[in-house]
Amino acid sequence: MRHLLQRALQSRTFYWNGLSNLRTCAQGFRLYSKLDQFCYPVSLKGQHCLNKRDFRSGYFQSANCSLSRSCYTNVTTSQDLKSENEEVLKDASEDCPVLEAISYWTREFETAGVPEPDASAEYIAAHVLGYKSFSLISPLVRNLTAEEKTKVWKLCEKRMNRMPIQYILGEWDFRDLNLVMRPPVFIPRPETEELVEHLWLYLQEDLTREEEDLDVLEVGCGSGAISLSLLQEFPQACCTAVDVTKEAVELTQHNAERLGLGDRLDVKQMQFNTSADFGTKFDVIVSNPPYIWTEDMETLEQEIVGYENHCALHGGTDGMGLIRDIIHIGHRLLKPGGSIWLEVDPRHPDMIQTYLNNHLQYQLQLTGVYQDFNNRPRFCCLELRE
Amino acid sequence: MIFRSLRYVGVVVHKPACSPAFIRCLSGGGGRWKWHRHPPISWLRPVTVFQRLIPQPTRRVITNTQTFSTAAKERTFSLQNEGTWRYLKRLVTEGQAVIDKLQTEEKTETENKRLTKRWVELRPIVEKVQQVERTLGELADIEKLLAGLEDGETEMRDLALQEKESYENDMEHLEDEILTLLVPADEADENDIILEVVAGVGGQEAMLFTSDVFEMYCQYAAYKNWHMQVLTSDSSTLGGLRHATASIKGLNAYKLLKLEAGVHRVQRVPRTEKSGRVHTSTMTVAVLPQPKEIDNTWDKSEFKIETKKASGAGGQHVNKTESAVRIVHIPTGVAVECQQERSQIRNRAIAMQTIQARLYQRKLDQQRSQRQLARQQQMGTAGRSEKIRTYNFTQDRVTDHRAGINMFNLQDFLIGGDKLDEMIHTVQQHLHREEVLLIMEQDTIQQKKL
Repeated sequence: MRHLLQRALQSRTFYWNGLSNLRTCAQGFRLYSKLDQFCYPVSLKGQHCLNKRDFRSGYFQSANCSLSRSCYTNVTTSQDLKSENEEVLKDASEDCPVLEAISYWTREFETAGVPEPDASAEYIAAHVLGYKSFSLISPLVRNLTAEEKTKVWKLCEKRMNRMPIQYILGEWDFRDLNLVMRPPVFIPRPETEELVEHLWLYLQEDLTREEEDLDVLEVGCGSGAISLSLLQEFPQACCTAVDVTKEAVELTQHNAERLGLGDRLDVKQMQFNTSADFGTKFDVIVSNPPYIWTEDMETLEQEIVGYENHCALHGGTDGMGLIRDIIHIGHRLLKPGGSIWLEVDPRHPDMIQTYLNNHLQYQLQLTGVYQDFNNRPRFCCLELRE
Repeated sequence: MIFRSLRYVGVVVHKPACSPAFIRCLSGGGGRWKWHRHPPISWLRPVTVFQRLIPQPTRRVITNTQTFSTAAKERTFSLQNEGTWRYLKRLVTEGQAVIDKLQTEEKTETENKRLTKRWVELRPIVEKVQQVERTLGELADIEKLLAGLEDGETEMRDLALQEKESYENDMEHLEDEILTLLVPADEADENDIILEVVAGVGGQEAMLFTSDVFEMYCQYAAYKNWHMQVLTSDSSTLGGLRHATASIKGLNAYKLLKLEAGVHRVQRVPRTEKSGRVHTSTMTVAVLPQPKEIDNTWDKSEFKIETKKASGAGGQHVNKTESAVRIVHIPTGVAVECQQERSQIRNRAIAMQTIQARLYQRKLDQQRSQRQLARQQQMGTAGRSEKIRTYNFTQDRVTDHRAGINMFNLQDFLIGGDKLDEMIHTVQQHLHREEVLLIMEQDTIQQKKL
């Protein structure tokens, strides 16, 4: 480590401003403490700072003060390096350090008002270097080759046009799976991971499930995230996934084949309405239906409005359009003891309760409302009355 | 059992009458005193526990021992002790109250849990006390029968006496069992241990003695069918031991051997001594429980999970790639952050695993420092005055200073078989009694306060 750092310092590939962009405070801190240990007699006063901003400021202060006392006089200050490197970055044929590229693009994104500027630049750089996330890279080791640099520049240009990161990279993770993402198919959100988690726990508790088959219907499958996760975690499960758009159906099929789960998944392109007939009944109907209210559609970010399919987002004036359909049609498709699992808007659980109270003929009961990681009521479990 | 301790007490009383010369002459010159190894039972049955509860006109009592036992009775736990009986009665009443509550009243879940737990603790005691009462009733009946018998009915009398004998035996066992029930269990009783012996003051002689004692424990482990493995040993030039450690695995290893921890003193003419003077040296024993596999389960509510909060409505309304998760263990303040994965739920799982490993490590460290403390306490200053036991070779005697008992035939004792086992059990009983007495005293004080 000492050797590496010294080399880095001498070859000037390592400069302070670049470090400020370290995505992970933990990593930065680790790096810093190594530096501290090997190069500088001054130590960072603060404890492990987990707030990124705190970390940066604290880090800079002590870094500067370390520098001023440092015996490594050949390290130029960041100001000098900045101008020098701007030129290096513009020249496409030259290698450039990863950290510099990232800091350059972070600044660009910031000025252009792109959300999550630092994370965007880091994900793109990591992707080009063949990593999933920036914290897995040792940032001092490697320079971007000219080819990689061109790639980064190309992808970052896309981000400047507000394309979601998931579409730019063409793939993203959902729970344990890696899924292909393709516009305009809806990108699964972290909340949906939690929906699967709750459903998973619910099914685990039911011990008799182990021997029995598990038939699942997913309404509005998008990239197939929910169905594929369930298939992966329950080897006895069989899924039917339906979606109204052709792109979604194709992408789900593609992802299923890529993950080797295609034989237990049946994907259908269809409108989920009263004429829907599956010839079988299901233990579970799960859905992340479009639930955004018409009035909210205008407030969405450019990434969402501009790239994602509106029919995967817009749920009618009260966001309940498909939810009502699922209740109306779904209750007939459930096996005895079956349940419907939905991800909804925080306002919806109460509305669903009222709706079920007014429509007792569906024999459905809202038995569970779960909160997401922001503590908003997000997930509903509807069980068929015995 | 009280008899066991009294047995040696009784023996002590007899013993000073015999001079060392007498002993030597009896043992045929070998320093052994074989006939005392299994003393006739009649010697050793000084007083039965319930002697005062039931009139026994025909009881044979060795007077010397009786004075001893009366003295012993006042400061130890025994069923004849009025205080003990009162304490037990109180526990039984409490047990009844608990079971009544459990069966009838409406309770909250926590209340229910508490009551059930208490009942599990009290039930065996209540049952044993009921058994004692039954046995006492039977004994009283037999006494009545005996009193009413004519002189001629010898056969009947024999039968009655036999039955009485068996009930008395039952009483012994019951008292024993009640005592064990009243002693709170040590958490580490089931653990494997590390035994450490260190020579104290006395130079080479102390090292020689350390080696003797270590050998004794090795043989004792074999006697108990424990698995013993010597970890380190540092021998001296004369064949003594400066220091040795061994790991011992087996049933009740800690429970029994923890009583051996402390300073052991030896008084003998050392092999190194030329002019035949008796030296006093010491060695210390430390017994440390090894940590068991600890449950890696922490309550979910102890953790605070932090994620980057989505502003606005969240869900489909936003598309954030920020997936970092930070978990804080609230009671200890240990925090772990994970952002290496792009899936938030994966990050959460990894962070949870990491924090649990950290907490486990922390627990182990704490245990280790506790053990360190225990070791220091056990080792003491290894001075001659802090001894728990003395091995006096010139008098062929082992004295345990905690229970105040003597045993003879040192060579047999050092073999680490029955004799050592009996000594350990006696000391255990003694310490249990003291502990229960303490508990009872505290209980009385508490009752008075109420």
